[in-house]
Amino acid sequence: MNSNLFLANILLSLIWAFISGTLSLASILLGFVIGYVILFIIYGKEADYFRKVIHIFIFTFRFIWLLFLSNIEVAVEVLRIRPKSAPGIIAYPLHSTNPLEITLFANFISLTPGTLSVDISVDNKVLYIHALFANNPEKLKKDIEKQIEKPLNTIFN
Amino acid sequence: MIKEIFTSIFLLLGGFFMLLAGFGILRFPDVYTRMHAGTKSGTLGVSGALIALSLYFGDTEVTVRAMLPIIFTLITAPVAAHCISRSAFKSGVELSKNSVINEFEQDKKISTEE
Repeated sequence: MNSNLFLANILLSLIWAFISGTLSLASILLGFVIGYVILFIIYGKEADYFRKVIHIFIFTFRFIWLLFLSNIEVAVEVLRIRPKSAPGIIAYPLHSTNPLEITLFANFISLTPGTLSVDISVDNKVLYIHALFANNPEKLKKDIEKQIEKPLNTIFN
Repeated sequence: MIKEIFTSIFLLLGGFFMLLAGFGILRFPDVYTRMHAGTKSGTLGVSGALIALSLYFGDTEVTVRAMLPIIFTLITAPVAAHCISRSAFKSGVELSKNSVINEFEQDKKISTEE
């Protein structure tokens, strides 16, 4: 159902772009928005596709913002005369078993503030994360769960 | 005029973050902390330079071609960092002396004791 709606949405956006005569990025994006509205009017609340698209959209912007923040953090740490980082490796228990979700999660971990995925346990249940500031591992794990794992989970479920 | 200002801002930001990545790799104490600098600042540096490029030319063809490398860097940089730090860990590279915690080592001890 979800993938069908996604394909229909893509098709509608392409049709829009062809009819308006300009095959540019802007017209395809506009077509996608219009196709989204049309499909929402037809299917409404029956499908959770519409909720997911919104979540992906929000997540993308949150991710860009986090990437920017992480760079500021590393920059400050690099330029400090006496570095005050307290690096360490923490074990983060994964809540999901979906391989794609774990892969994405590990990638996002590497690009967001102060964390870098190092290894995953043999049974795919624990992700080992290297953190620049590991003074407070429990708080760090809570932050990761709140900022990345929860939003990612809403997209996949 | 405005276009040129924005182009310069993005170009300078990109260059600045690239420079910081270089400094970070020089200054941080061990492999793992160095990978932090390499991945994050590198990605944003490349993105900044490419966004400046697409702003300067301002047509769809260049923009699409400039966006593709950004997406590919976003996908591949963390994977490369993960591979390097993982292989460093497997071959027994120590963490720097000021590290505060190593739950990986603790877990490994528990599993071998069992």
